[in-house]
Amino acid sequence: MTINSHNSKSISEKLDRVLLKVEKPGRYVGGEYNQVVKDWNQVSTKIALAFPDIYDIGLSNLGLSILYEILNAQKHILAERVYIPWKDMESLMRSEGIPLYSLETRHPVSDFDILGITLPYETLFTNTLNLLDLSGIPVYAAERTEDHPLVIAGGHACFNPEPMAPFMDAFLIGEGEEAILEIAETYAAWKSTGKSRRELFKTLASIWGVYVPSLYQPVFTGSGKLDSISSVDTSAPAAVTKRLVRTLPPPPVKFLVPSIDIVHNRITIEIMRGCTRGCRFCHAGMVNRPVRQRPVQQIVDAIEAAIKSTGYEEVGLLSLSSSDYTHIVELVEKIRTRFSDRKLTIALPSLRIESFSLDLLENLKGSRQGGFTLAPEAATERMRNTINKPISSDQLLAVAREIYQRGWQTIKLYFMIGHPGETEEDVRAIADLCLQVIKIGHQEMGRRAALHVSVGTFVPKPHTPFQWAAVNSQAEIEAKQSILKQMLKKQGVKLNWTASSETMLESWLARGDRRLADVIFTAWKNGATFDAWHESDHIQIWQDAFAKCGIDPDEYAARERGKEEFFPWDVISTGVSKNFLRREYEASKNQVTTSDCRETCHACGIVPVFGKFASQENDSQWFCPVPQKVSGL
Amino acid sequence: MYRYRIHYHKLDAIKYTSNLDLYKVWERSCRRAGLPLVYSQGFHPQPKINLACPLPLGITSTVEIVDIWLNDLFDLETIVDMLENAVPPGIKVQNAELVATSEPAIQTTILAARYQAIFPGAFDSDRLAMNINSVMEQVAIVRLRRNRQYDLRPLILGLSLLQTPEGMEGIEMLLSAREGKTGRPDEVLLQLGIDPSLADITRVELIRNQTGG
Repeated sequence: MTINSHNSKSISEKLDRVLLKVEKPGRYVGGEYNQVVKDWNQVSTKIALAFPDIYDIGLSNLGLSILYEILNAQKHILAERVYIPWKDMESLMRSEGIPLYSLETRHPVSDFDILGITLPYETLFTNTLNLLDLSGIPVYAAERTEDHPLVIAGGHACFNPEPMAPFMDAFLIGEGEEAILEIAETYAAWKSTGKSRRELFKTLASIWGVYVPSLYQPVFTGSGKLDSISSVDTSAPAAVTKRLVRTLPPPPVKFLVPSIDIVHNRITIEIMRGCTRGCRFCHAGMVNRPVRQRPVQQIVDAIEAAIKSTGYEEVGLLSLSSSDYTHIVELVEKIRTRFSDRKLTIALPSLRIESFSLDLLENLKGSRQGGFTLAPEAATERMRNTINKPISSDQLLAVAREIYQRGWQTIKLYFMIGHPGETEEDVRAIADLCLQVIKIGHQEMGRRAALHVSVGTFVPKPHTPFQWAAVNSQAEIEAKQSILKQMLKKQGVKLNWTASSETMLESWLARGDRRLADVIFTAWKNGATFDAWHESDHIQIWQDAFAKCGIDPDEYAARERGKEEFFPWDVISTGVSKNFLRREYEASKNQVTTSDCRETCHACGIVPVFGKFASQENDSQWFCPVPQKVSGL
Repeated sequence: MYRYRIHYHKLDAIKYTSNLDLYKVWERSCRRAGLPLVYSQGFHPQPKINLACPLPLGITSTVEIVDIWLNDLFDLETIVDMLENAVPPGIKVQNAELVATSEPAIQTTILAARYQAIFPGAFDSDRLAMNINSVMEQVAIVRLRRNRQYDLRPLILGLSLLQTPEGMEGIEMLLSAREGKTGRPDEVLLQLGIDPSLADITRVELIRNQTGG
C-alpha cells in the first residue's frame, strides 16, 4: 500500500471512482451545512477530530461538536472531522490505497498536526487501532516519530487510560473545552522549536488533565498483580487530576446538518453537567462531579440560535437528571411559549419517577407522542438500597397508571441485572413489576397499552463505589435473562437485553491494565472491529487473544477486588476520593442509602480538590458548599 | 397558500444524497431560510415539497426543480436570496417562479432527461461509436436490475458521441423519464461496455410536457 503518497486532490479523484460501489456513499464526502472549511495553507495548527465509528453514529457526538466549534473559532487553528469507514468502504480503501482522510478538505489524517480521538465507550478501542492503521500512522505510540501527528484521546472511557496507553501519545482526562486550546498552543510552540517529541510530551504532562502514558511505568509484583504506576519524569505528576471547567461555557449551536439520514438527527443542548444523586453503579454520576447548570436564558437562546442555524426539527435537552435542574419549570414554560408553534419535537429525558414529570412533559410537548421513559433500575427495596436509587414500587405503579391514564400508550422501563448481591428473587421481581405495569396499562387503555422493558447488565466501572465488585459470569447473566424472557412473554410487553458476551467484553476493557493493550492489538489483528455493534460477536476472537497473551480476563472482572488493591485507574483522580467510594461500597453491602448531595455534603472529595474553582455566580453555582479554605491542586 | 418552483444545480458532494434524503435537505433549508412551509394535516404533519425527477446517486445536475408550498407571498428574488445562504454546499439556487397551485404535480410533467457522461480517463471513441450504433439498431435490450428484468431499449430516445467545448470526450444520452419508465444512465453505459464508475455524469436537460398530464 502506498498510503502516504496522497494529497487532497488525489484522494478526491479516487473517491469519485469508488464511492458508487459502497453503501451510503454520502458518509464519505462531507459537504454538510455548517461544516467549516478553512484555507489549509493559511492555518498553523491543523487538528483532526475523530470518532472511531461510522459517520451515521459519530456525526451527532456532542463532545466533538463542542470541540469543533471551539477550535474552529480560533483564527490560527483548523479542525476537520474523521470517521471510520464501514467494512465495504474500508476494503476498497485498502485495495485502492486510499488513506483515511478528513471530510472537510480530504487531507490524509497523517498530514494533520494533532489527531484527537474521542472514546466515549470502551468498545471503540479496536476501531481506534483501525483508525490509526488506515491513516498510515503506527498504532504503537513508541513507533511514531516527529513526522507523525500527536495522537491524543479523550472521553469517558479514558478515565481508565491504561488499556489504551501504549497506543496514545497523551490522554485528556475530563472536560475539554479549555484544555484543548492549551494543548493546541503547546503543540504550536513546540513545533516552532524543532525539539524532540519527548520534549513535547513533557510540556503536555504539565497541563492540568493531561496524562502522558510514556512518562509513567506500571509496576507489577512477582505474582503479576499491579502494584503501582509511577511517574518516571519530574514533569509528570504522581496522579493526574481530571480537567474541569468552572462554569459551563455557552453550548455549541452551529451543529453540522448531514445531507443523508443518520442515527440521531437533532440539536442537543446540555442543560446541566454532573449529578447529585449518587447511584453507586453510575460512572457518569461520579466522574462528572460537581454539578454545573446553564442559565435558563442561555439555554433558550441556544435553542433559538441552533434552530435558525440548522433547521432541525428535534431538540434534545441533555443532562443526567433533568428533574434536578433547579429551574426546570421555568425552562419548560419558556420553551413552550417560545417554540410551541414551530413544529418541533423536544425531548426531555432522565426524568424522576413522579407525577410531576408528566406535567413537565405535557407542558413541553402538548402531545403524548412517543413513549414515556423511566429508569427504576431495580425492582426490590433491597437492590434499590444497594445501588442507592431508592424509589418504592407503589410509587412507580402509581406513576405508571397516571401515564396511561393521561394517554401515553407506551411506557419504557430501564432495569439493570447483575448488581452486587443480586439474587434470583430480585430478578423475578423485575418481571413481576413489569407484569403489574402492563396490567395497569390494559386496565386503563385496553390492548393499545404497550410496555418496553430494557434490561442492561451491570459492569463494575472504574471510579464508582462498585469498582471493587465482580461482574456476573456469562452463565449467571444468561440464567437471569432467561428468567425474564420466560416471565415477560406477555401481550403488550417487549423485552430488550444486552448480549452477555457484550457485557463480558465491556467489563474486561473497562477494568484492564496496561497489559490489556496487547490483547486489544491481537484481537484487532484477528478481525475484531466494530465491537460496539450488536451484530458483531467477537467473543471468541477476544478469548483467543487473551489466551495468546497469557492473560486471564477473569482476573480483571470476575473477582471481587481486595480493599487495598491498587487499580490501574488510580493514576487518575476524579476528585472523588477512594475513601468515599469505599464507604459507599460498604454502605451498599448493608443496604444503607446515601442522600442526595444537595441535602447534606457526604465529603466525596470534590470540595477539597476543586473548591477553589467553584463559581460564585448564582446561576452556575455548584451544588457543593464553597469552603473558606482549600488545599491547592 | 403559494407554490414556488425553484430551479437549482446539484453539484459536488451532495450528488451522493439520495432523492429521499433530498426532501429533508430542502425542508431544513427552508426552515433555515425562515420560509413558512405549508404542512399537511394529521398526526405527523409533513411539509409540502415536491421534487421533479429523481436523480440517480453520484450524478450531478444543472437542471433540477423543486416545488415548495409556502404560507406567505414572497418576491421571487427575495426567495432566491433567502435560500442561497440556507442550502448546503453543492446546491446552487438559480431562480424561482410562482406556479398556480392547481397545476399538475411537477413529476407527472417530466417526459425525458438528457445526460452527458464525460470520461477523465482513457476514451476509445471509435469503438464506442460502433457500440452506440449497435445499441440503437436493436429492437429490445433485456437487462436485469435488482433481480428484475426490463427492456432498456425503449427508454433510450437518443444516444451519441459528445465533445465538450473544453475538448473532453464523452457520450450524450436522451432517456425517458416518465414515472415508471425511467432510463438510468449507468445502465446505458453498462450496455455500451463501460464501467459507469469511470464516468462523470451530469443531467443537463429535463424535457417537460408544458401542458401537463
